Amino acid sequence: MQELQLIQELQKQNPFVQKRVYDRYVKRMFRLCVRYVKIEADAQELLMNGFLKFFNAVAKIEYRGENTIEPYLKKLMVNECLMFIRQRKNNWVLMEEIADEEPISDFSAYDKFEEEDIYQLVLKLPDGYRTVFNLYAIEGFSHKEIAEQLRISENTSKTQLYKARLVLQAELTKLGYNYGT
Amino acid sequence: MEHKLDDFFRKKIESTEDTIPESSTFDEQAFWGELQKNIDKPQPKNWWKWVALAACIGGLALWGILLPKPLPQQPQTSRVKKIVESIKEKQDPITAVAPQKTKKQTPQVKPKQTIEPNKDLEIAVAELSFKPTPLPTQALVIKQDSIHINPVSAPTVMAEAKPQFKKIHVNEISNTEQSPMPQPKFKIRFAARNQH
Repeated sequence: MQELQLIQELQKQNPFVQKRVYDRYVKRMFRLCVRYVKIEADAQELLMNGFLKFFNAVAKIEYRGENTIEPYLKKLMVNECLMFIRQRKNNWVLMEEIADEEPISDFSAYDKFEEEDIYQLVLKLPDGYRTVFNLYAIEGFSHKEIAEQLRISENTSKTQLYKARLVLQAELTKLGYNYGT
Repeated sequence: MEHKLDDFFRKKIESTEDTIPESSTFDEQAFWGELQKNIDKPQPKNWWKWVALAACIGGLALWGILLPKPLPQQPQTSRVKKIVESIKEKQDPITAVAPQKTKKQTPQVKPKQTIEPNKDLEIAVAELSFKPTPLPTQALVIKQDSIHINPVSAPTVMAEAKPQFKKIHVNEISNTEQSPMPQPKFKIRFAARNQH
């Protein structure tokens, strides 16, 4: 079934199509929520709110080609996560003890790393670093947008991202030793 | 460096997110059940908005009814005034036809006939007329004897016996009321001897 048909059926509140859309995206959306809030219980709550909003507001979706539903759903979920983070009031504290290392120039050696290990590296990041890294590197937000969304300054966003990269690189290097690179 | 690191993580994470790790406690089917229950739930309607709107409309209607209405005036906008003035200016005084005055047909009233008084009749009337004689007015006088109080029937009021006082001079009272000055129990006496 094409996305246009899916959207039309969703607008008719067709339960079979709802289940189909749910099955298609639930894992990805759950992972996304966990990536932001780390705790699975919180992620499930956000997932529930996000899906409910999606199914209730499906009439507002404008068809924009074959890739319409996923970005819409993703945006909803990210917004839910950011609302949650704003309520939780993150501490945008910087880690002091990060040693500047030589930047990794060639990532081909890291391609054999398990995806799950990489995912876990992101989860290990402190809340502030993780949020900014997720928004900038994974979702593609600009620093200005991040600053607006998280109600922080652009400079804070930049610093958080810089530090997050340093931590990730250090962790990647550590992981490389485990992999024997 | 930065973009490479970001790209590396993005690719790896995107390929990860289609699966749920075995360590996760997330149950897709149970979650769907919960979600379906919440989807089927009727969403809370904003009924209070409609109530508020109805109340506002009702209030306005009442206000419109209860307020004393001013005399209806034909609204004349500036545009209408201009049109009216232009029509007045355009009117040709020669061609204008004065409206014919319609005469009111009033019913013809006959002139009043004056009846002259007949002298014979006047005399007869004078004879028949009754002149009342004024009665002598008597002032009401209540005689002393007419008021009679029955001593038996009247309730007897016993006057209280006035206390009899003895006339005493002021000086006598002051002498009797003067009580002896309170004396302290222990008297301290000071004695001074004259050395000389």
